[in-house]
Amino acid sequence: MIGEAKALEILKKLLTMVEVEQAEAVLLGRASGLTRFANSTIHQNVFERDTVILLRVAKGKKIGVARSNLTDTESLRQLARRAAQIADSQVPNPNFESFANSPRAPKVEAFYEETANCTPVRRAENVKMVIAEAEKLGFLAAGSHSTTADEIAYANSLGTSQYHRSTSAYMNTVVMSPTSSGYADFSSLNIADFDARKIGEKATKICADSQNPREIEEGRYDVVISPEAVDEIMNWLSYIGFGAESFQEGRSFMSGRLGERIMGENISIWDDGLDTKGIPMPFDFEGVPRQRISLIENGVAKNVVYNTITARKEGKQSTGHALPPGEEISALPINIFFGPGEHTIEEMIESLDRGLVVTRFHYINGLLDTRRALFTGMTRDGTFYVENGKVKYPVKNLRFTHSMLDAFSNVEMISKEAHLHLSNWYGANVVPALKIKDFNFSGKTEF
Amino acid sequence: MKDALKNVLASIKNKVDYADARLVTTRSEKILVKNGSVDSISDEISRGFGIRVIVNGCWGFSSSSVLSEEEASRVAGEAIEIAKATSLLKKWDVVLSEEEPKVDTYRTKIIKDPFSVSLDEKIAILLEADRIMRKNRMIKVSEGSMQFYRTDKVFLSTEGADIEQTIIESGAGIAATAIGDGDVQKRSYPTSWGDTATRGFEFVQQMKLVDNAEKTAEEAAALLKAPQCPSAEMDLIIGGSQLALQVHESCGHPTELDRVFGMEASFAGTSFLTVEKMGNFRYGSEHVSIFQDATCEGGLGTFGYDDEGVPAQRTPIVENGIFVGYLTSRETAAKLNQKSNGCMRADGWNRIPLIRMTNINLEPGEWELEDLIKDTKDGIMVDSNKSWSIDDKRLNFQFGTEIAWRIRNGKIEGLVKNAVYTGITPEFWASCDAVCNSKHWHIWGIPSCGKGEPMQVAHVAHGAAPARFRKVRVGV
Repeated sequence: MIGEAKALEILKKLLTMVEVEQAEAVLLGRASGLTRFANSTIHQNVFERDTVILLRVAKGKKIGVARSNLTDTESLRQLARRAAQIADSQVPNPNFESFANSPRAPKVEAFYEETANCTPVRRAENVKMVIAEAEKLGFLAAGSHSTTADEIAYANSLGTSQYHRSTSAYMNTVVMSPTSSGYADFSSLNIADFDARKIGEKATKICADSQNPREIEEGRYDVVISPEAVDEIMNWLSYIGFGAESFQEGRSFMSGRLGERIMGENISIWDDGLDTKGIPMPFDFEGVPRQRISLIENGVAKNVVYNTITARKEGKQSTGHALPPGEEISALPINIFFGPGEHTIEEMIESLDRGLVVTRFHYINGLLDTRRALFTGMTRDGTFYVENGKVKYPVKNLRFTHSMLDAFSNVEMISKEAHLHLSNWYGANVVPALKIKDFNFSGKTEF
Repeated sequence: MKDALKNVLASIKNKVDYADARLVTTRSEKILVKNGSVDSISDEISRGFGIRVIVNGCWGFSSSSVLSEEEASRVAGEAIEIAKATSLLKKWDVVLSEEEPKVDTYRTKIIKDPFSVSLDEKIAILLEADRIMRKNRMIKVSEGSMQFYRTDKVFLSTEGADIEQTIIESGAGIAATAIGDGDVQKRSYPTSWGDTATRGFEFVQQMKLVDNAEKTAEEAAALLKAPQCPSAEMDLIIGGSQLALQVHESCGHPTELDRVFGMEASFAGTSFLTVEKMGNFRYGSEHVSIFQDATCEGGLGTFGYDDEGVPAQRTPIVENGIFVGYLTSRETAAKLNQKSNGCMRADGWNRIPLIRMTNINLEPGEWELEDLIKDTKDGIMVDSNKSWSIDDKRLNFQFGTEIAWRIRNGKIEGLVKNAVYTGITPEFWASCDAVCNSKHWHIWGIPSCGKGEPMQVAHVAHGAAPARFRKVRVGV
């Protein structure tokens, strides 16, 4: 970690090397250790540290972007020259007016020394606790455990400067028997919050309960899907629909429908980059402070999120959700919260007359029909048949193909418990479990 | 820096069972054009090194972007400490298959270095294709992209390997999205992820993006008016680019031996192709033969040596329908008393190598596509992937495609839209009764194969020609 003073010093030095009207620079620093385990032993154990600088320059409305992890003075000069050369070859972007002249974003405390300084020995000790739980029943454990320190600094030629640092710790595990598997994961800003034994215990219980699954016919079932399964859905919903680009182009399920009810009244989804219940990042990659944006409010499509350029197309201000320049998508929510309900997951399962409990979805794809949010995907790591409120037996995995607008219009119960799940890039989702009526399972597999 | 890494490896040789170092510099250039303007041009350089060690039979790895002998020494020490932490839960010693250490150099054969071509020339092609697509009034989003990569890497090991490679990759593609009456239909060329190869700028020129722009737009617009693809069990002809993804998901991934051994279990999953099946399991019909081939010229999965210093090879995966071999590393091959077939690659200097697909190629058959269509009474022909999903053992899959054509009594009746087909991998490949000949065969580059934690993106490819599958479930 370079720290605020040095990071901003590098960026400001870089900005002095750029002979153009406007420029902005972002520094992304990461130091991350990750321990992977499988067959109840550690098989991969890695550490990386890197500092990447992104430079965006504007010659009038012509924009050039260059990126490098070389931070010595000569390399910074080359970076500045390269970005300027690219701008020369560009065509003017009519929607570019200026880089952002933003106030300092609020400070959010999200950095824990204990996480940043976590050793591979400590990660191994946590992994050992998970494996011990699996081995109590003769099962094998696989998974990963990471500890990461991130910093992001931003400066532009208009005088805007920002800095934020954070930590995150994450563990997932799949515990496996010859005929079944069970899953659990945990994310936090602080490694001290971890109870690895509990993570192992949860996955082991699901694995034990899902042994010798029976085949079940595809068709429509009422389902209780865990927060881990909801998290997978939210990532795809966000990708296809909550960013300004897909909205403006008419590809999003939100396009032309703002103010219209597109989900059930009990559904509210928002993005909040300042909330420490998630993995906060108080400003975006254009240095704009993140606003709390209501995406779905009581089932009504309310807003999508913007960067400066997509906002200008609609005469709006950026909401502070720019992704780094050069990405396929220019703006996305990365700190999603799904409004919790009033029920325990146990109550939700007890309310099923005839239905399924899903631990996790696998390989969801949301590109079948983005206007309807038609998704497909598989269940994995523990699927159970329930009758009259009681889990009867585990079932083999099923494929679902279903519109998420329909699914989220049929949510009968929402858990009060919400689960934090770290993204594998930046940010996180905080989501509850859902009970959904008439969920369509379109196929089945052999295990 | 290479000398510094050599010195560090020499200094730790007595402290480790094995160590290797990779020094990697990657330069990439990406151009995105959208709706008549250049959406973004970006240029990236990433340089650093990683040191991988086996200590007390256990792996450790660390990496850094600070290039100095002092830093390399510190990183080597860190990797050793990480390996010691790994050994706290050791169940067995890592054993590597034998490999003669090579001293060699390799460079991608190209005609025109893509980094020597001006941005103006590249942008002009994309803008012209974009202009032509937008002439069609139904097209609401027109897109084009080019991407170029140059990777210089040095591989050194305590066994004495010293390999320098330069890999150059070029790729491009265009897409048109038609929107109307609440429907969205996209058509792309040459396929939905473009096409990328270990070739120079000549590869992009040969694509003729401008010449194909009008047809791409017309097909997207026509799909808006096309009837819905029927839902039924019927014969299916899969075009080469979609079949490439089918091979990728249902043959490439399940034959990665690390997956088979459970090493990816918590993330991407495992595999139905367990080791007792090797040599006796019927994976597909006698028409199905699949090879991994890192040696074929121009394939996106082509290189001189993998990231363990193992030479690129061509080895059988499926021969006449029988599953016969895996994609392996030195560690996993040793468990089967084999030598590695050279499939270990890392996504940059800060990642460890994992088993990755190279060019996983379905061998061409005998058929002309025209004859295959004439020979099909009731079916559809699909191409260009739109959606993909497969279970965590790689059995149940569902694919959606951008475009499909209804075939009745040996003739194409017209377009149908939103085609989806599904199946179980070995049943599906067993239903393959015809593969088109080498005239229709092309190696499709896929530059976005994700695997591992932290996530690594690999550049892989699949040779395929159109093929027919009998009685496939089409529709949801």
